[in-house]
Amino acid sequence: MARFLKYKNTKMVNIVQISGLNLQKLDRSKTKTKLEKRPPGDFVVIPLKDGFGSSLIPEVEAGDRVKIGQIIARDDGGVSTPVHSSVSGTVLDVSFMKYVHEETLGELPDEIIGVKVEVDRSFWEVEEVEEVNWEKLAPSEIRSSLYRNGVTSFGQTGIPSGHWSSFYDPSDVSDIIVNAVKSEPFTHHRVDFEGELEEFKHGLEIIARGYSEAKIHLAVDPEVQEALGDLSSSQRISVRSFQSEHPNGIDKVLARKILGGDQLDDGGFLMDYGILALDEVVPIHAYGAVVLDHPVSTTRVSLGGPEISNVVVEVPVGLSAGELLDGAQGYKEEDQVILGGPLTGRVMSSPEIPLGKSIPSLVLMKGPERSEVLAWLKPGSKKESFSRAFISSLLPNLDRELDSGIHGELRPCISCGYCTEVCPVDILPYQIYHTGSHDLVDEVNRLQPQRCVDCGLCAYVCPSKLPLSRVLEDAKWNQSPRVKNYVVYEKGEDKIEPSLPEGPNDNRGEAS
Amino acid sequence: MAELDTSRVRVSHSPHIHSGTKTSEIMKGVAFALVPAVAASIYFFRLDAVFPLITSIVASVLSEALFQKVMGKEIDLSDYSALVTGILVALVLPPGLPLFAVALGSIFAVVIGKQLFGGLGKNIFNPALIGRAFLVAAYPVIMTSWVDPVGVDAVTSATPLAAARFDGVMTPLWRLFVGNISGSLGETSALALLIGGLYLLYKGYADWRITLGGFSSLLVLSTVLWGINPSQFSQPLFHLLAGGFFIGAFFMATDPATTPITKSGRWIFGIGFGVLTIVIRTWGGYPEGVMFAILLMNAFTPLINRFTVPKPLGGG
Repeated sequence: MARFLKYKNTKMVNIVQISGLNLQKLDRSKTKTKLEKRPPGDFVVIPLKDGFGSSLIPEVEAGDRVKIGQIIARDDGGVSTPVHSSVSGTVLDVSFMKYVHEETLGELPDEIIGVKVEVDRSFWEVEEVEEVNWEKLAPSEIRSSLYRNGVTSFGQTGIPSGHWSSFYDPSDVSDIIVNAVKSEPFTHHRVDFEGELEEFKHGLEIIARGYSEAKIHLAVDPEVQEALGDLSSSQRISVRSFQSEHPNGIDKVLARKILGGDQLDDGGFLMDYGILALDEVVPIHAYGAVVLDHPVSTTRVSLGGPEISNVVVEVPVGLSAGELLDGAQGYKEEDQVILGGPLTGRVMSSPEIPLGKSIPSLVLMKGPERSEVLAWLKPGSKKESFSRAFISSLLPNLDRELDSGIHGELRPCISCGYCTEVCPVDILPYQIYHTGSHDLVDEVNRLQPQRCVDCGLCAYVCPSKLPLSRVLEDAKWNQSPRVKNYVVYEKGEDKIEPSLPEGPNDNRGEAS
Repeated sequence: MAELDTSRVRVSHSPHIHSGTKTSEIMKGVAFALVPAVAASIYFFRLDAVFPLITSIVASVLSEALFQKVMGKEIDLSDYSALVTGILVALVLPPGLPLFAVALGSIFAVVIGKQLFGGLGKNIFNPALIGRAFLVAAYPVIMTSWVDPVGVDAVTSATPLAAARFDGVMTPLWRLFVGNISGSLGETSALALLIGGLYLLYKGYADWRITLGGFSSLLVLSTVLWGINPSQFSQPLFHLLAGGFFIGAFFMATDPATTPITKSGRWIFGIGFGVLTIVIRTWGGYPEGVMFAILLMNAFTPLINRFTVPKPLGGG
């Protein structure tokens, strides 16, 4: 408990000391969530693995007519959740497609099957259904409804439903954390807590009924708490308030803060400790699924960035990111699109990525190619930067550039200690970097990199611009960090391609 | 839908924004924080301060560039660390030191003290103090010839610490604080160092744990000794203000590269620095113990780092 109390002292204070800025200040556009609905374009590409679970086998083929909400793929034998069509129309194609990993949002190669559906607008209306009185449903019926309607694919490990939607059993769930804290700049709440408050509250009650053994913790930031008002109707739902400061929005950080850190002693899944972390949209989906028997066929994407107007858009699952961006105000083609938040997300490499349930937000930033003219003359000595270094733009043949939009030159570590100062889980990113660069794998493991929660703050504050969060990610998977390979790389080289051993079909055969 | 030019899109790792802190900015900050001390040294010692400062800065910047050139590295002075080393070397040397010795000290500091270890961030010992230690060993006589600050006539006199240690003469505390005393260029005015040091702490360029640990352990230990026998041991405030303790505690012991990275390690470093300073001043062969206290603690840094790995959140 002592550890836990210590942890409550927010680490953001230290960042303010170190760099003289606050991430929140960066986000001047913080406004109440405004939901916009976007109809589908000519077609959608629905990924057959969305969120947690295995990739599914399609039940439809090219030429089939599908209806909105119809199950187009399921696999009752494997750990998965059924996938529904998000539009009505005709299946054009079933083929492999690009999509992202559900947790890291890293891009996956073409290994997930996508179903391309041409939208038939004449076939659009959703049938009216009778509302179900969920209070009369048994917990198992509620969970079945969640599974049937595709709610269970959310979260790191899926939502245990008693069906094969997760490796875990519903009885394993002892605590449910509903994460309604938005801490990263330019990401927004995907629930309109004023307009949808009733649905949200009902959704919470439904989840509480579905998991009658579990305690429900609703984690909110001040913005949500204001809208939420009194929520004392259920004994089992407790509300905890957090500042909207990064890294408070990360599930693992919330779990440690709410439940104490002592039991969470390694880098495994929260469900290993009986903790189910749910995104704030899950109660809304649960309400739709259980009360209206509505499958999850739309997804909400928060769209933000320093130079665009910030909105939350509800789109049919499978609309491509490019289509959404086309309509975004202030979007420029050379902008860098980040899936997730600017501190934890990944850069999108292709506008064809379909927007699925796994992608919560898109953030648009100036790309690394776009150097700011006279950026150093702008007022304010301390400011976040997105462009390449001023010097680099003056000396184009320096043959050295930096990963992502980090401003300035990469330099050796000077042991300033800023990374240890901001680390929310008290590991030593610097030590891991140093020992890792000497391939001392055992020594790296001694420093317990698996506890890293991927908040990205170490790399955010590093004055030497070291790719610390990337080093930690490597170290986490018990790999020797590939420090040497990516610290400095030549222009034009593809620097994240891992060096795989050569295949047998090389020129070697000819030589022998 | 407009086609994105995918050749321009880079897949890179998060985070995609940066706080804007830069190594060069930290170094510039340290140099800026040294301005009051430099100004005070010029005020008290006039040309005896100006020439060593210029010599030291030029020598250290040139030797850094030359060494990088010889080693086939890219010449990179833009991190400003050579500038900081140059200023610090000059500030820890006696005023009016022959300029060849000043140059030799800063060349030694940069080449042996820093570059031979691998350059910025890789050195084990504080480069400026390595330079001074070299000069103390090589030229013991000129390194202990002090001139009084008033007037430019070289009048040899003892430093307050030496006077107290060897002759039992106490210098008034207010003179120690303002700096109207003999001693190294930068250590005379505690006031000027305090101004710059507080700026460093405020900006977060120096870790307050080291400074606070050093100050408190020095005061506590010297108070205990003084309480035991006031006639044999100097009083705590004298220890605090005399000699190089201020410049050591604010600018030398806080050099991040040569100090522990863990928070508890930095406390240990600061406390050890204060204790060793008193121990050397009281029982050692030199009247001043700051330099060797810091160098000794530098040597312990890897060990401290290893044994102060914090228990990660959630047990261990």
